[in-house]
Amino acid sequence: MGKTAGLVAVVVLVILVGFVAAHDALVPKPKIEKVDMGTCDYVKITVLEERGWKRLKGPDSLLGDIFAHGGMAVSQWTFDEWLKDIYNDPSRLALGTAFAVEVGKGDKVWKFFMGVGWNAPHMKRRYAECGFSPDLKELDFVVMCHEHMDHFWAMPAVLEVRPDITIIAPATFSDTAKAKLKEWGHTGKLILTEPLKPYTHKEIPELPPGMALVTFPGWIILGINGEQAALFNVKDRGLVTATGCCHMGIVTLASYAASHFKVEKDNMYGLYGGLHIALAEDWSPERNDWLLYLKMLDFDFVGANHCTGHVTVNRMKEFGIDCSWASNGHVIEFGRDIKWYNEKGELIKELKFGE
Amino acid sequence: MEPRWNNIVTGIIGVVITTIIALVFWAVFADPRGPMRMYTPLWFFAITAWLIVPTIWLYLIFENYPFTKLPIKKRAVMIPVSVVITLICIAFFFYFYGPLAVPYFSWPKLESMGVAKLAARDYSCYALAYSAIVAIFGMGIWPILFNNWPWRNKVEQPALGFAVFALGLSISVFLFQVLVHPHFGEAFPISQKFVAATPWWKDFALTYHGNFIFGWFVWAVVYLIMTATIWEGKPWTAARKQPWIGIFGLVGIILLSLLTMYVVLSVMDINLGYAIPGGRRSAGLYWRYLHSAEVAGFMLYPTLALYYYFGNVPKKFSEEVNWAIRTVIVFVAGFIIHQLYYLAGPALLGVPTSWDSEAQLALVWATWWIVPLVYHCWFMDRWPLYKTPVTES
Repeated sequence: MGKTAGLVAVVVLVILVGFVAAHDALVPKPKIEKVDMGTCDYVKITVLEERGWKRLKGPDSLLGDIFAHGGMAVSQWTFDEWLKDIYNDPSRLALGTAFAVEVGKGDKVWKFFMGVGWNAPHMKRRYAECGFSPDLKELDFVVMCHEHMDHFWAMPAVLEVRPDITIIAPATFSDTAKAKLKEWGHTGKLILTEPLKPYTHKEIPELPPGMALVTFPGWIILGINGEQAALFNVKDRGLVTATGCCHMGIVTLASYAASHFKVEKDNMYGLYGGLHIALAEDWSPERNDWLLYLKMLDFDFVGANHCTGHVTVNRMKEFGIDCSWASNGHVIEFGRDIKWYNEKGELIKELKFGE
Repeated sequence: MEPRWNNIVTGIIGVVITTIIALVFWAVFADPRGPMRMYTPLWFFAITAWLIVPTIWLYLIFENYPFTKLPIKKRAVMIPVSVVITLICIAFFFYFYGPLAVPYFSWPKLESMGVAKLAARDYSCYALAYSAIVAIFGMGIWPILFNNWPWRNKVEQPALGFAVFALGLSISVFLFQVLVHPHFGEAFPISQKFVAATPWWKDFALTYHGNFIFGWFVWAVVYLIMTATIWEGKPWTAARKQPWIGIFGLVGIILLSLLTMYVVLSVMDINLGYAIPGGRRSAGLYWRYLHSAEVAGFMLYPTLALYYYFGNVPKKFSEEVNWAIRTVIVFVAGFIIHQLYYLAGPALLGVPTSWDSEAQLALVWATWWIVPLVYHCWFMDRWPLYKTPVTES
């Protein structure tokens, strides 16, 4: 029996090793037909607010509140003091995270907010300071990246003047979030984007050509599911990604975009937004992985802010990534060239790419 | 020792009682909806992992000395003793080892250095939890695989315990330095590469994260515990003499753990598609390695429950067939528990809804679940579920 058992054990081990070596044959490799989102002439991003919260550490701070409530696994909707912060001004903690996007194609221009912020009175001021009229009549629609408080909870500031505006949100939006939209007076169209399904102007006519939306599922911190990213295909230049927090990960997003969309010159042209790498200004070794492979994506311009964390920008230098911190009021234009303006409208960086 | 009722009934009662105890304490201390909410940032995991380490010391190394002199019913006193040892160990890390030697073990020290409270707890609890997992393996090697060679039958307790403890501590410290410390060299905003080597696995594991280590190391812990329980030392006893049994076991367990991790990774590839190097959550390799460790964690409870509560059935076939059936039972049970955890966990335990949530760590429950069981089985000889315990004095 001993020899037989030994033989059986060897056979089992060989089968297992063989399975590991040959499992590639069983890995699904769906044939992906690349989606043509068209092209746009330029994308101009204005940072409405990127700070999110007033304080990160200590009492009455983002991390302090999260710690007091029991950590990152606790739902944001149970943070009563945060809900109160929506209307308090000056707020205890809330600021917000939001940016405005302008897309141009020929003589047509589309404008929308991606995220609206957290503290409604504060964000109303920020919209005005960034050149938007009090009635926000310039806006064609609002894109919600996800329902985290700092991106979503200032929605009353928009709905107060534009209750009928079209909102495009991830289908992973919670019932609580949808109920809040009604409570805040939304009467317009609510378009929900299903996870891992590319949406272009063909599926959502409100979107400009050269733009796509993709929702990535997955439970992130504070009991929230999914995030929606915006992608732009700039004529003769390549792909621009714009994210609120990029909870899906920039490498995941860029890999998805490269494999699912026709991209001009197959080039990674620009990256803008929160990258959710070092929100707490801490670090963890897997973030080295993210930066290592972000470097390999070879974006022509990386403009990060918000939950990217300032420590990330320092670490990016070690990995050879030239990252610019896009502060409040900054404008980044991805067109034939890339132009970066500060809050005073002064050109502070320009990347020329010729014809 | 005999079960008070038949194997199945006794086993089910044991499982139900230890699970209820685990659930009640979880609801109070760990559940993110409960009063204490210690599930994040890993505080409950750190405590839980360190609750197990003293049970290894007391039961495996000191063979319950000096409590063997107590009648079995009074041996429950070992539980508070074990808990106190845990608390002393954590205090040692927080207030001595952290401040004087390695700050990442101590959140008070990290906070005093300006690290945010939440991040400080995350760092130190990660260090505590994984040091405990390393210690469980490092301390368990000699009593389980080497049968305390060369001191067995030559040295009495407590001298034997001290000798094995010293050796186990040395092994554990060495393992921690090689397997975990490099992770922490890259865990802070400024790389600590002069203090800790850059993770030696990064080029072939395609991640800097220590999850690569735990992706197979937790399997090594599981196989070590299987060796001590349902495997009854096999197949390593085929080497016949010490120290060859121990060496064969140690090398065999490490190779088997690596193979198992790569099998689990392959299954994930088939189910989820290939991971993206630099990807995030389930798309990232660092998460795939973590999930291998989580899958391993789900094998712990069925291994111990089968051996201690269900009488290590079956026993009626040849040793080899019994061995194989028990192994299959544990793997099938572990897989079912894996599915149940993600299905019922959000409602029952308050853990995040999806298996790859940023705040999900199934190892916490998997580790905590065995604590009431090992207290009951190792300290109290399964009283009152089993009659006439072997170690009754």
